[in-house]
Amino acid sequence: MAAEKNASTRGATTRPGFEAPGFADYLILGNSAAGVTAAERIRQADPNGSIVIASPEPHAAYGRPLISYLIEGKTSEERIGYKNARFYERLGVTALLGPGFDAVSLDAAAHECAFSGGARIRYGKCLVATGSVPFTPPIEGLAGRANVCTFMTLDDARCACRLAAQARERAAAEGRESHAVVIGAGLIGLKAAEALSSKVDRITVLELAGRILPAVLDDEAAALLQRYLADHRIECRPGVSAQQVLGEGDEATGALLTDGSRIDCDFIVAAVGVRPNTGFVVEAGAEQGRGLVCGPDLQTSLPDVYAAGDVVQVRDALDGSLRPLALWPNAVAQGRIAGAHMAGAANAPTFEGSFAVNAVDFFDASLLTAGIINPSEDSGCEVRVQRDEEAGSYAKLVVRNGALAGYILLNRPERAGVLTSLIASGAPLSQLQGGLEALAEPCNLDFPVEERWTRLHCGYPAGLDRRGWKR
Amino acid sequence: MLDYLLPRYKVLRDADLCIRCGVCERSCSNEVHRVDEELGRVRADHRRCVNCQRCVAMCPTGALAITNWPQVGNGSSNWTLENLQDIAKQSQTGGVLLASMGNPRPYPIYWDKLLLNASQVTNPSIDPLREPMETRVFLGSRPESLKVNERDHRMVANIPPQLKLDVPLMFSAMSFGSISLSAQTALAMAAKELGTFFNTGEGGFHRSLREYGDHAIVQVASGRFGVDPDYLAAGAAIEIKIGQGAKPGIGGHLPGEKIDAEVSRTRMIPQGTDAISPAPHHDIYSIEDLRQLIFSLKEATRYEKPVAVKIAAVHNVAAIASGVARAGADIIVVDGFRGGTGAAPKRTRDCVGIPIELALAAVDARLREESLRSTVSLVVGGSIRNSADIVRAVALGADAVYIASAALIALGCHQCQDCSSGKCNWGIATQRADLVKRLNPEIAAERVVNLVRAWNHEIQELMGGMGINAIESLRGNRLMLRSIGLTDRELSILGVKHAGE
Amino acid sequence: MKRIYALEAWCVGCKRCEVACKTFHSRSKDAVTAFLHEQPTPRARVRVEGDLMLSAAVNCRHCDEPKCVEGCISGAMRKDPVTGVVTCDQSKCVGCRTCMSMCPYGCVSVQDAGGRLAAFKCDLCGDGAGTAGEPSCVAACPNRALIYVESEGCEDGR
Repeated sequence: MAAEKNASTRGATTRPGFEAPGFADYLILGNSAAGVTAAERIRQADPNGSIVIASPEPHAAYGRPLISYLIEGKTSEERIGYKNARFYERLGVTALLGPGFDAVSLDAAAHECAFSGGARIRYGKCLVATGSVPFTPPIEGLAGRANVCTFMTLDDARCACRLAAQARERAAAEGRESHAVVIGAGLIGLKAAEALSSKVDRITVLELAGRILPAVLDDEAAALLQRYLADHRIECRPGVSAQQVLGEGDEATGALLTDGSRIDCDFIVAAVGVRPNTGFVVEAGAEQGRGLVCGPDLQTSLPDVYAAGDVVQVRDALDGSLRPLALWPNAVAQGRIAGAHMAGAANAPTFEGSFAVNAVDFFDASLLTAGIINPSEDSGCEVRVQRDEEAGSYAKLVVRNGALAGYILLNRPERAGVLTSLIASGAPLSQLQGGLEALAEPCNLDFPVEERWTRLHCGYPAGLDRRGWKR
Repeated sequence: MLDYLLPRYKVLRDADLCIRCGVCERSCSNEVHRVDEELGRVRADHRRCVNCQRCVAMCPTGALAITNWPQVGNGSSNWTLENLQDIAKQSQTGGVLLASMGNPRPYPIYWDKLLLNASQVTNPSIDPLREPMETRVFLGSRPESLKVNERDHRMVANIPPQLKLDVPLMFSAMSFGSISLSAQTALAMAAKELGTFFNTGEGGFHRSLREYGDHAIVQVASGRFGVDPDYLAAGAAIEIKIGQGAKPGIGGHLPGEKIDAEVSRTRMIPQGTDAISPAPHHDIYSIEDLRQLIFSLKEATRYEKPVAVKIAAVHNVAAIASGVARAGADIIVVDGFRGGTGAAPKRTRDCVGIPIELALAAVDARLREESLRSTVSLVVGGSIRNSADIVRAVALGADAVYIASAALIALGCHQCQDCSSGKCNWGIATQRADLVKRLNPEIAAERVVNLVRAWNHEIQELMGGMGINAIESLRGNRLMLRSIGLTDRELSILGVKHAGE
Repeated sequence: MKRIYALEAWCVGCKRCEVACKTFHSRSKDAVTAFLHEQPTPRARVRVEGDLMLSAAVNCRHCDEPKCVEGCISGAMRKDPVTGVVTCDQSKCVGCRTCMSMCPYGCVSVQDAGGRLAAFKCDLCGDGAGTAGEPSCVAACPNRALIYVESEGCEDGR
């Protein structure tokens, strides 16, 4: 891919002969949303403390979810940088980026972290923001194939692109259609499928669950989206997964499916799921549930070891379940909170749980979902569905105890954030002008007078009355 | 019945400039404009247009202008299109023609025939930017002579209550009901800022405006709406309204649909009932009766507030004014026939009363002749259009003037003369909440303040030119006026020499 | 920082603010060209909610801790640390609509920006990169229903 050097870090400190510092006041493991945001927040509160960011990825922070857009050409490597060019320099952060800086062990008592390249860094406070790693499914014949990739990182995207180009070339030579198989129809799998649809002729997406995007859609919306994707030469096969990957040597050539059928393919993208990248922290004694167990200040059970982002076990504010919330906004929010506590900032906010909000688009279709999407029969939730077949839109609103608890908005994104804020606040819908009906076109004026004043007038000068006149 | 009435106006829309944004549609309470999405253009129902020009001012691209309906009359200066249309309207409705704002007929405007003097050589002119120039005026009755205790330098004579005006003008009576609360609030704010007075009209004194009481004149008119001891005490002065220049001899009628909860509460009458002010005060049939009311009001306010009496300029206005002075009024207000109104029968508005210039000159002369002038202040109104009109009025004998139409124009009024419909697009002559909120009193007050400050500067310039450094020195100084193109009879009534004399 | 506040007391729903905003954010800066001829169609960033009776022009709040920035996967949405202005660098934006799902006030929209999707939001009529200008919506409001004044402490992040 072009412009590799642009994507790699500027001012980074991994050039030959460089020696990693032996100590950092703040050691941040991970160089994505949570890590970078934490560094910013720490610097805000502590102008002088030394900050080290370490990550095995040799790139300046970039938006990982952008890799599908990158393949589609909707962005370029020059533009995917999460922060601007001189970010690390400006912030006075030492960035240790490269394969040698994968954290391999942590000694919480000694306040020391060891890296794959042999470096050891002692720290004052440490932040684990190592994110997720792909979960490799136990499918026979999948491991060890050269033409199987995952779809998480910039390097994954480059790999997928290379495989797609090879596939196309070979298929053209053989006078057939190129064909990719994506295992897993979650957000990552489908975004990979969308991206690669511009590079290969045909894509099949396998999904063990009974519908695509099982976690964020209901059956009806999933069916709508599935039909839409089919128009773009992406065939989704919910209820079917690969039982065995077929092939010769290190090359996968097809798969035997759980329904007994068999498909051929040029390459495979494995996207069945992710798990928190926390092995070394758990080994160091950190308490782990479905992610690292943290207090409201996002400190793990190990002293001076904090965590933020995908690695943290979050209490879902809506259903109380405990799980990691592997979402970008959550990582940023937690990075900010963890950073504030690490630097001992005054009035540092605490983390009080969260809920999932997903925004994703496929070609021209937009899909926004939040909160509880498929309430169980006995949950007492009320469900409202609005369909507009002409516009191809589908809206589902889930109401629980008189408050909004979740939504699916397919091709109807306008002012969705108002709904998200209603879920977050738990505000009774009965107080809205027009009640539940108002949610069809959510707007600020639906809120009661006082509420909408406070919503829209934060920081309003005390010297003016509500008419804008001097008191 | 087929409607014979023609539209009065035509909306001109420049198709090259119209962006179909719909601002005009949302700005027009008469529902003239309509964005037709299907046709991709904006259409106008010309018949509904009243030429208020709100859309013209609001259009972001300047695509609009209003013009006359292009229909010609038959060329007769007798059977003009207007006369024909009036007949068409009345033959359809059988009703009295209603009109609003001031007399639009082409009667002579004497202000425009009066030229001002300036100093040359023999007495120097004054530069108002360098030297003090007094525009302050006190209104109220004066004692016949001043007695001073020479020993402790104290005034012994009892000085009757006075109104102090920093500028020689006040805002004349416009009731809450005839105008919106926003409009009245703007005038109250401006009066306070300028150091002058607004007038509640016969609409009561809204509680939200009581804080401006020191700058309010409360009116007592034939309907006595909103009058109680608190009301009388709340203002700085009291005005008894006998008549109004726009409709002498006629009472007032605010239809029930304009009496909403707030108007009802302020006027102290039931919501939705018509507010009818009788033509006469039913307790005043003589000067003696008037005197009784004047002193009742003075008694009720412990002789702490001046009492004004407002009369329309009619044929024997001088004699009436003399009687009013003798009845004990502290201020006489004379309102000329070009004064505005929210609603008046068209024939009354157009044909009744006399010009304020002649009335003023006659009243001032009469009061001087009878040695009453110093016992009473004289305020005139009825279409004061600019600062020069004020200077001329003062030179003809007025202490100060009342302005209303000019103040409304500053607020945004475009003189469309459709006040009585209650659909004022500028939020002035309406009680419709969506229209009232179009007038932010803060902006409106600023505009009025700007206008009056500008006028006051001009007055100072003109006075300086004449070599006069206080407006009190200009009062009744008719030598500062010369006329142009008037008859000997007009000159003698005005007490003014002809130019060249 | 200076913020725009909408005052319901005076909003008359004329939508001149929307026209002015769209015009300012056009290439030509001319309303007629912007509305009738320009491609891609310029977009207004302010939106009048409600009708003539009750309305308000809703603008980006330029929150102290903006949800749109928190959610932005591309680094396009950014709050200038000095001026506080929240802007979207459309060249970086990929149109994923996370910001739309996050903004509590519905003040970000993702629309066609000339063959590609991008987020549109109020930039206070500045240079689009974090420096505020003189908001055109405020200047266009006939009734001071939009005011642009220095705000005071906004710690709750709203």
